[in-house]
Amino acid sequence: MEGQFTIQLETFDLTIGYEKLVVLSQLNLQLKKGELVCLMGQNGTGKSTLLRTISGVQKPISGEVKVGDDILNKMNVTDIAQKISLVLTEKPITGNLSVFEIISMGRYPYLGWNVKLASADKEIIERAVEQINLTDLLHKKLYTLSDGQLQKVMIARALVQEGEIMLLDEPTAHLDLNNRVEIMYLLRKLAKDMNKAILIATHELDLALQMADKLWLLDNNKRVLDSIPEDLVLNGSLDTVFGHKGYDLKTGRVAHEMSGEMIKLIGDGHGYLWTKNALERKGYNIGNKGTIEIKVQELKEKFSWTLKKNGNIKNVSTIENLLHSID
Amino acid sequence: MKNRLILGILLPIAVILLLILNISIGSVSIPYSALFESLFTDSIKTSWYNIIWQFRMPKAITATLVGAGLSVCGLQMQTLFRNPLAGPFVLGISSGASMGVALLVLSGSIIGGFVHYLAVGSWVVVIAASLGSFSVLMVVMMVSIRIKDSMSLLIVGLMFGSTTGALVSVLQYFSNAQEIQLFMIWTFGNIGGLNWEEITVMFIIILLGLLMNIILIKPLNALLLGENYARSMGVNIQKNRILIIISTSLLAGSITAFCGPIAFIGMAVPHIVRVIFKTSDHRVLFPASIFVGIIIMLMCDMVAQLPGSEYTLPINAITSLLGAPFVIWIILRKRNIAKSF
Repeated sequence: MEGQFTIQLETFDLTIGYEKLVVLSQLNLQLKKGELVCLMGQNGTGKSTLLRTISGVQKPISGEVKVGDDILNKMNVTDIAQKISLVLTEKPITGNLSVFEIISMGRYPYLGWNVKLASADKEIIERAVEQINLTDLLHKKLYTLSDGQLQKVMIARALVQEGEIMLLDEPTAHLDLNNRVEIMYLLRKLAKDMNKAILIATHELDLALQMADKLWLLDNNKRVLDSIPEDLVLNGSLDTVFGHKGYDLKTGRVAHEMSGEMIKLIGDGHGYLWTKNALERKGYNIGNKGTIEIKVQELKEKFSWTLKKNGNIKNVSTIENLLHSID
Repeated sequence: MKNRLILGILLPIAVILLLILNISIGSVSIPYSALFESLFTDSIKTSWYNIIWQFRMPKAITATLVGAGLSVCGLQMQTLFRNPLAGPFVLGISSGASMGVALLVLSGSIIGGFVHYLAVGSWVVVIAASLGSFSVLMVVMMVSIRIKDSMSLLIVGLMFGSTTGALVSVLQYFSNAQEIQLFMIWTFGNIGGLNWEEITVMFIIILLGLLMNIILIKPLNALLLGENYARSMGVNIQKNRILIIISTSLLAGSITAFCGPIAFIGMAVPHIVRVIFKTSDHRVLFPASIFVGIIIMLMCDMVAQLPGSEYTLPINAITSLLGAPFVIWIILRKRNIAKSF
């Protein structure tokens, strides 16, 4: 695809913050077309300040931000709106707007005083609505929407704005797992299919590790590490920043205190994995030998377990019974 | 389509009918035939003709201007502050005006007794009220240029209200009964005291304030999503906030100066309009607020006339008496103001 991975937004020795407080300094970051970047860091380290600065709301202390070929601080609000669209955490307090009305507001940077949509504008809106699968909701009022639906509507509005850059502030906060995954998939699809440069400030480490092309990781020394997620895991940067307690990043699992006996677990596939999960949560060590032996069998998608303990053999049909039997 | 029908046909017809009804009501009963003859011909120079053209017409036109102006102000303030309780006077405009009038009327005891001849609605009072609101407004303006968020502006406006209210109390404490009564009468509001000259001035100012809203449709619609979203969609917040303040001060300022404080219309009408039209789009809300504002104000004036009697109740009391139950009804019906806001 032409123009793929060209730089859309770049910062040069950017130092951001407030009058007497430097929040982040000497940032040289690049946001490219077709890339999904997750902005991560502890609370209070400057995610919002960075978003505000590169969206032109707040002036940098020094250095500059370039959007395409233009310098951000020399652009007027309409020019910026045609390049950068935002999805924010604030909820509109009016409930009386319809989904269509909200999405069509994305065209405002291109419309005159009477906000009349031309047929070209309507086509753009229609395309976005189909792409994000909002056709059924189009005439619903805002107050009837769930949090997940509202977030999709706001993303559609940002898409309709047709900027090359989309900045999102915690788009998956307050959503359940299904919606979180759906939103992240959607954003990833937009980056790839529409060739957008997308930056998401998020706390969802697990999703970011799987979906982001790159992470901008705010370390605790006013710097931003810009790298692909896997490298940041392996070199320990993520651990340093988040100081994880009980979560092993390299395996991607919660660490359990192992104090129980050794168990020999025989089996494979999903049955094996979830049995192991339950046993580890209970504190047992899983290995190739042990005083207790458990065999996982699968027959026509039904699982059963055979437990050998102190010479006794017992067959159970659920993991819950299995755990009871071990005790 | 239904909305267009209501807005384009039903409401204008209602306005015209109510205007005629309003003019036909008064302490002197005038038959409709004489009413129309007086309205459309110059032929009869009777006392009826004089009553209609010197008293009832000016009052009806004033009611129209007040209703239209205050409703649009209320709409602007509610959207700007994203607060369903906001009204035309949250910026301290009426407090400023009442302070100006209070200084003029009540300072008599301190400065000298020259003000006893003042009638409510006369140019001196209008100028005092205008100067009062103007000085408060200058401060609010300066604050709005300095601060970034509108909420602080709202608080500053409310604080001004309290401060000027307190100053007025102090002035009242040092005044004599006659002066206090004069001031009290001003606070009752009066839409029947204007002559054609004053109405012309008021009309021009209000027309200007209303016309400004044509360029405010887009920013106000965008503001429904919040200031940050509005900015991200290319709306210059600072500039438009000042334009909104100018429009509101033209409207609310001139109305308060000429008619005294008139409560509730500005806050209630936008809610009524949202319930009727089920939208938050200012392209609909602006014209609809103008029409509904006129209708409600004409109705309030007719109630204040106490048809069939010689008494006229204070218009400011009537607007609140009728407006408050209406807003309560809306909230009870919708259960949650956010659904219609």
